[in-house]
Amino acid sequence: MASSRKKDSTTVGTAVGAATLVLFLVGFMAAPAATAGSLSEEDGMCLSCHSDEGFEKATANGETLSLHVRGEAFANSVHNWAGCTGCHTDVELDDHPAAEREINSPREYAAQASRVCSQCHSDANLKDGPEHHAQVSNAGGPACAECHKAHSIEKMGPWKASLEETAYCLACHGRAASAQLGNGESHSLFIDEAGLRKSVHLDHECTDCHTGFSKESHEMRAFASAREHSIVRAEVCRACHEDKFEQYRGSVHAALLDGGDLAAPVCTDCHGSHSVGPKAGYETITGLPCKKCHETVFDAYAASVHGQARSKLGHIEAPVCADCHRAHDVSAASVGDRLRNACLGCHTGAMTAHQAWLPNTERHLEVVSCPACHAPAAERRIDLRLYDSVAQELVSEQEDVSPFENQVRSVDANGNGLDAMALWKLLRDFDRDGTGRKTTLRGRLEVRTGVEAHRLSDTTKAIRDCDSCHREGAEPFQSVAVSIVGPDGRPVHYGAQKEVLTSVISVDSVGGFYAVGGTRIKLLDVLLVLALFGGISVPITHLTVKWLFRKFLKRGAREDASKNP
Amino acid sequence: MQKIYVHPIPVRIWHWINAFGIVAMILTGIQIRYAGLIDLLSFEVAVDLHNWIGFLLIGNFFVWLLFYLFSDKIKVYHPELSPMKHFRESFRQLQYYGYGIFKGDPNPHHVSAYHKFNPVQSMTYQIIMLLIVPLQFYTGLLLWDVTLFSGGVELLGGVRVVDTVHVLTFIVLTSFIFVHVYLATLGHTPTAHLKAMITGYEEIEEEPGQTPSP
Repeated sequence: MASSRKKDSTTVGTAVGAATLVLFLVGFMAAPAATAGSLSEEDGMCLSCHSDEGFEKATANGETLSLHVRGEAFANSVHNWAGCTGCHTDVELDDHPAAEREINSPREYAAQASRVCSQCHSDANLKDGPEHHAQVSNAGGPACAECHKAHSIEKMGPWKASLEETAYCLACHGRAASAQLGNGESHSLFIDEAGLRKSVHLDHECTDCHTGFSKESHEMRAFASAREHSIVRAEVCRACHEDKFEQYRGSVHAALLDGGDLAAPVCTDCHGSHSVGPKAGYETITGLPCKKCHETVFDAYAASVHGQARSKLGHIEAPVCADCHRAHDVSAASVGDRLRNACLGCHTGAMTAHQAWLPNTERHLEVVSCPACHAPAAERRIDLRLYDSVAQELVSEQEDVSPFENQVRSVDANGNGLDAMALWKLLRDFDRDGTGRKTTLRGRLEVRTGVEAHRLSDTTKAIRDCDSCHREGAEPFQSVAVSIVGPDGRPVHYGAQKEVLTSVISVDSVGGFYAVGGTRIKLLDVLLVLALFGGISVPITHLTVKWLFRKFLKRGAREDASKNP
Repeated sequence: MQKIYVHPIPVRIWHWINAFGIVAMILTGIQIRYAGLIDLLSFEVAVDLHNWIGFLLIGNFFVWLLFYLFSDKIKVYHPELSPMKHFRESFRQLQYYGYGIFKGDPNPHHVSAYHKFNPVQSMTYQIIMLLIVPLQFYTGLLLWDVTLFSGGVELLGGVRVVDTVHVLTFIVLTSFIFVHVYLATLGHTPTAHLKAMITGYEEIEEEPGQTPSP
């Protein structure tokens, strides 16, 4: 249908006629108007030339403008009463064809010719209706003739009734059109019909999602920005995908959005709006939507053992983003056990394999994040996480109390990072809000950035050297942070001095984290040295005194011998 | 020179396993704690040895405990119920070690089969064997598998607290070992007590030349 319209759109009349034609036209001006299905004599005179199918004119841009008019179609159009000159008011009957008239392009001509429509169909009237609002409001929209055809203009009622809902929508939205938003952005209203037909929603009508719209009703809506439009429209998905929507509501993405981060993704950011592909499409390296926002993380993943297994070796069982982070209920990676469980969920033999050589395997796998060893080039750190030992969960920042950072700054006025005493004070003060909480610290050895967490290597390159952690000055213990779960579900970190791991003051505050050798308490070393010194010096001193008193010993022995001969 | 059978064979077996075991535990413990400063063994091997020897010593501890619980030899550990008498005798013993021994005074303690420890030894060994050593075994066991024994770990305040207690008892035992070995040389000859712990027989000098026991 669209293609036939386009063909007709270029079929407009600029006649090239003989001088005698002028005489005929003068005569027909007085002739009676045409009735439906018939043409006036005047129009017949025009068609004497313009009915020629090969009648055309070269335009300045090198294209060809057809001058052919199908008389029968015009006779049956709603505008046949107006006759040719009713619209072609620029045609001078005594000077037609105008040989010197320059036409740049068929499209430009169609736009110029369509201006005459506004004589009857004013812009003000058209703007009231959504069908023409965008066209009238934006320069560069389609000319009237592009949709309504030039000469075979039909009544809209029967045409509208003949179309399915979606086809009706696409009659306008299948064409390049845009709307201006409150912030001045131009928002495309174009829907790619081919993409729509390939989507998983191909069996749906537009109005299934765009509820409130129909062939009879088209609300005029205004949005402040394209982003606001996307966020509002994402609610539509909920009607059918309530379960996924609820999962999304519990995600870090939704929390970010609720916190005012408009860049946080909504349904359409990952799935697209009209060309929603099948699930399998998101599970390929090329189809992963996450990389749009997490590009550096994705690059690290793509180069990792998992990414390489997918892209180079074709192992479709190798994980993509959602396999570890989940698709909709995406949580902060470093909070909770989800990622560890994701690793162990696929690597079912990992626990046994580690137990073969790693003492305290379960605790190691609980306290040491997998990438800390399996991304061997990564920089690592200790994250001391605030943990409520009563509720047995990580402590989350409360909205009605002072933000965590303020509390930390109150005990670390210099901003040098928490020392052992400041950390102890922080914990002491933290539970004074009357919540009945008992806050402790749970340490976790993790890589410093999310990018590094994805640089997983082959198992053979993983760190398996105990000395990497269990020795003085080991790299992971050179960087320490204290964290709380923030309002959006992501951890909020605050720096601490590395001495908090080795101070005797930390026996209480960091009681839940200890790595033999790497975080040993310095004061105990001093005590050991003193004990060794004492243990050695007691015999030496005793022997020395005995040697000094040896004369008394000999004398005593002689006296004993004399008393007991 | 009189010979008294003071060290029954179960005690001697326990003692020597304990002796070598504790020395091995001290050395492997130092290697574990000070990896990087001392590298005689790899951390992994040191941990394995420490764990295995630890279990051996726990089993050995019960040899000692069961022997004394089910034999009349437990009398050697009977506490002196009169505090005044205990402190008076302990003071006399310490006075001997600190002063009398230098001028050849006789040891105030007289060894017999059911009275082989002097008051200071008796009290010290009971503190060591019924408090320090069990505490060391218990904290060691918790550290051996902090997940399996997470309840015990949390009860004590966390793994750092457990390790701190383990290291403190290690420090006490280490210093005790030095003094214990030195006192073992203060028999009528430097090796008299050592031989007694091998043969079971303590050689007793005729009065007044009594000597201390380790």
